Amino acid sequence: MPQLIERLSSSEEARRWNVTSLLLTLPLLVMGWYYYGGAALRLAVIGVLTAALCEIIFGRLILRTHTLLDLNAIVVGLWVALMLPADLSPWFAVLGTAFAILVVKIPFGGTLHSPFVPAAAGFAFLTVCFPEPVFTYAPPTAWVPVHSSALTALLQTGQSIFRPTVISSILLGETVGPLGTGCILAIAAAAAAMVILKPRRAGMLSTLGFVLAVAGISLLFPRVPGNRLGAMGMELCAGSLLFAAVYLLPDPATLPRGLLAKFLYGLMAGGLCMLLRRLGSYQDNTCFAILLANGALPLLRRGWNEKENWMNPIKTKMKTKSKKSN
Amino acid sequence: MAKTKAWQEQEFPETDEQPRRHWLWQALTDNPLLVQAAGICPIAVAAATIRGGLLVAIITAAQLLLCELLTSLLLKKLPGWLRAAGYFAIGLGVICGAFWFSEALSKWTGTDSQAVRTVGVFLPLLAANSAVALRCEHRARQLPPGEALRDAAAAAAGYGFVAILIGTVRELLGWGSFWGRPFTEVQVRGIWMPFGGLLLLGALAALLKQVFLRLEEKGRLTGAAAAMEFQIEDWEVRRQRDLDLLDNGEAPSADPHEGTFLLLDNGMFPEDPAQMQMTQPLPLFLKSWDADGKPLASGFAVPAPKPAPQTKAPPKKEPPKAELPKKEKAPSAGPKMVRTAPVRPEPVKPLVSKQAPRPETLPEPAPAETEQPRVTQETVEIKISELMRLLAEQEEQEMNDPK
Repeated sequence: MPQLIERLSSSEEARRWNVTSLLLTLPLLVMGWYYYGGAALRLAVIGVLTAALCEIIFGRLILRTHTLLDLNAIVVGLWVALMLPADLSPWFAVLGTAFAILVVKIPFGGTLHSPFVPAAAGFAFLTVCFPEPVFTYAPPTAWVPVHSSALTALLQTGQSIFRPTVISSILLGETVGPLGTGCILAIAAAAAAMVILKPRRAGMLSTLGFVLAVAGISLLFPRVPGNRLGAMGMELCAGSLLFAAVYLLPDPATLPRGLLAKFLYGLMAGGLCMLLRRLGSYQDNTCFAILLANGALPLLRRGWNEKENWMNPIKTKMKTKSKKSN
Repeated sequence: MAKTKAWQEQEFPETDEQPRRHWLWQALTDNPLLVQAAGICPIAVAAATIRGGLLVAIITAAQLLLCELLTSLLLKKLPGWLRAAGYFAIGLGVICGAFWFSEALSKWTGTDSQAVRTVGVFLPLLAANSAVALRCEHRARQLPPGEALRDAAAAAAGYGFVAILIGTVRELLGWGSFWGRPFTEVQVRGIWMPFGGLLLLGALAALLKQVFLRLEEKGRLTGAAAAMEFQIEDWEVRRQRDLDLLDNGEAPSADPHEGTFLLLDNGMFPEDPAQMQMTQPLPLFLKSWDADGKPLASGFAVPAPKPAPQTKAPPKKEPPKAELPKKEKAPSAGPKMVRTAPVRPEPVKPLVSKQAPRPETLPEPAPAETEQPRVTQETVEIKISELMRLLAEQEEQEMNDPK
């Protein structure tokens, strides 16, 4: 009887992943601090501390060990805080982060075992429980925003502000919105860094699929009449969409194996996101789309003869080796 | 993931044996909601207040008592499809009675029935309660009428307790009220939604399982935790499932998200290499590590072109064999949580290395003297040469038999 069957991922790999994620998230926090002042830092610190405490206390209670040192809890706390309005009461960050760690992460086995992205689940929980405060954004303190309403609210009402004169402002994040997800340039730079980094490169296929799906659907079925490119731009820059596509979607615990599978997974998530944006009642449904994609993944695998597809690259390698040896 | 026949049979057993316990204790160990995971929908949706939970509890109790008694007396003689219709008809009768009683009570008291309004459209849907049908099929059919009533009382008590508890928590946290009267200003909107009910159910089930596990550790209870349908599969469960598949000569899943690349530590192969004859070729990823758990080398198994001569193994001292936990047939089937301790094998040379060239001859088998393993686990002797020969045959078959 074989003695041991284990997953390929190790705690060391998880730690490296989370350190990279943390480093790539810090620019967004810096921009958030620049735009919104000390309130942004306070929210982030409280989110991180809550996540760390929940991980230590309840990790020991439930899992008999905690995995704080792999920094996943820190990353989850930071990501939840970045998706919230800067002037929101810190209790919301506490609640959302605690939900992410206690309900979505720890009960399923901790880092790299959860079938759902914890940060997305935490934000979704806050959205369902407190939709008004979560989508009431404060104007930034550093400058005057392009519009007094968030892009997500403008899309819901069919208004377009995407003109050549304001594109640079939108890309720099000079819009009313969440704490750390507005600076599109910083998110794009992080995505580029992930493409360069070999371990993260494959995960960017899911991001690519997601962005292509959102862009395609917004071009074909714009919510802002008369301006397809503007609608596409607004959809991509609105809310936490790009942030979720770059940081949340390529979560290694939920990402399928196989390059084509990753791309199709991103396509599916993007399609769900656009569907929920059209039919949903909340301003931003990106996290719900990611959670739905996470939930649908095992079903897709079973219906798709996933064993053959996932194993194809390795079978080819085996055949090549055995042919060479013969 | 491919399932064996045995696995499929375990999911829907024909008989459902239970050790005899006090009926109140059985309300916990055999709880329809927390153990059998049946009848969840009415709780998630309808039991959003104390009144709603109480109404669901009373109606389900009436259904259980009537259905199990009639099943034990009459319905067990009918074919399955007719029995299901019988459960539904009895459920409808109970619901109609509940509506009639509610209207009569409203006329008598002069007030509307808030509980019926709270439950709304899900009250008639209670007529098709899966908890009732499951209980009758798995228990009442095999029990005499007295025992069936006893079982129904236990199920009703367990179901009702959970329904009222969840309704209370949801009304307190979601509405900030208790029995319709304002209690607190804190209102968490998501709690009274169905997903809040499902979350609370999951938390309660986890809490109950922890209680069972602690009692099992003290020897006061057996099999209750394993019988629970609420299981979160982790890689240990997947591993055990793959080992079961190997026992039946089927290929385990090679997708790491499903659980396994097959990793063999320090040359410990199955005692019977015939177990490795899979229905479809499985690339074997071999990995070896030292006694401290540090990996030494890893790589895909490549069959040797010629079967290597069998080397005489030095006389070996048989290491202590520890038995894996016996697979008990669970009364309510489902994936079993198997807790096995990590292995600390003795160091041996790696079989295949990514960097090292493939050896012409097989390496020497593991040394005879082994230190006492840190944890007790089953160990087996290996026949490396036979395994490599089988792998070579598999590869030949695969190449000669194009799909």
